[in-house]
Amino acid sequence: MRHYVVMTSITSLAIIFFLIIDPLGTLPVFHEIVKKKSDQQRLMFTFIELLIALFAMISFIFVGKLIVYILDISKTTTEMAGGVMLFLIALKMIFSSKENVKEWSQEQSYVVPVAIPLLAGPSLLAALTVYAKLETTLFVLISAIFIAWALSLVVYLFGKNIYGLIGDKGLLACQRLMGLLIALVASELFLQGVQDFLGRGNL
Amino acid sequence: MDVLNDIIKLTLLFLIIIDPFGNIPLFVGVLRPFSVNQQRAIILREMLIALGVMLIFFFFGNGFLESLGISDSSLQVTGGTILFIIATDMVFSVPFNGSELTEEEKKDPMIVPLAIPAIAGPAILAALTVYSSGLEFTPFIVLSSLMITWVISTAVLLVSPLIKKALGTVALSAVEQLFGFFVVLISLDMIIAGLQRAFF
Repeated sequence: MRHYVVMTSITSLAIIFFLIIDPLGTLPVFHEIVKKKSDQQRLMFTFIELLIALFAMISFIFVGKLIVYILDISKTTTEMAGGVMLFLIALKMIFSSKENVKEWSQEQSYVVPVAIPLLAGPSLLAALTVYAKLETTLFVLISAIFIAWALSLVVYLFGKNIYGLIGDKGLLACQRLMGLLIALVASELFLQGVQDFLGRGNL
Repeated sequence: MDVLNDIIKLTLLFLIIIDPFGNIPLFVGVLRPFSVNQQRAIILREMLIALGVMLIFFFFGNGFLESLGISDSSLQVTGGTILFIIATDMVFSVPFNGSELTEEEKKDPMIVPLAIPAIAGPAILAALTVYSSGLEFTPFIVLSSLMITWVISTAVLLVSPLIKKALGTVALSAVEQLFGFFVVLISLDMIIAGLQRAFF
């Protein structure tokens, strides 16, 4: 039974992290950057960027744990603050039009902007801080982030095909649906926090 | 007669959320370059896509949400909040006349922006996930209401060029603001129902 619980929390955390990483939403910028590269170069570029991003994400977990440890925030506060913050992130995804592709894709160096902040950005760091408090097992956090990362890698590797298939507007639609899901997760967190605070409820 | 009552109630709700009248300016603007027959074909195609998306969300949206551990109360609170934001936008915003669309989108408005997000937008999808839990209405009631709403919306949008000509842009924006106020009421009702389920 315990094993089952661990498995489900890995899956749901992986989905949440994937939604926040939002590889589909950032695909237009990535596409703009790699457009001029040859197939081989593009493959190299994708792998290097994603490995840097993975390194950043894993360090975010430890940073998150450290922040939670130093600030000594209660579970209730973490849930409520995390809920509000995730909700704002979600609203940005739902109601904003696409990010300024031209401006972002001016940068051509490694690390910026694809690895950080497109893949491993401030939203992900904030979310990881919240879940570092709520989900104490390091193994679960790292497995979840690894699964989310692997899914993002797949999206980026087939980025050209996906982009060709659904285009800018289709990606925007996907981003909006993902934002809606994050909003749901956020409300759940917030309500849980209020419930812990009141000491009652039926979620 | 309870079933009929529920269907009418839910159909009205869906109609207000999908808001075919409010979408008329957008549809008219996007479809301006096409001939009337082409316009009708595109509207029908977009409406069918939107219906497909809504049905998929109705049947599979909930299972996915369950795996994320999302309860009914937070669904209602989220749906209500997003509806509320959309509603304030409807009340206070200048009517959208479709002139901001780029040349590229005018070529073929496949799926976006008409089917998604204009018709099958976050608000109706959130509402469908709320009602697919089967707590308030049976699936039969929700599906029939959705189908009736879809038929009415499609009919309204299919005659949209004529409606616009008869009402004019000013009257249309007044209708949209009125709809926005209704959506404010409905969204607050959703939020309060969600909070009630969570805490009382």
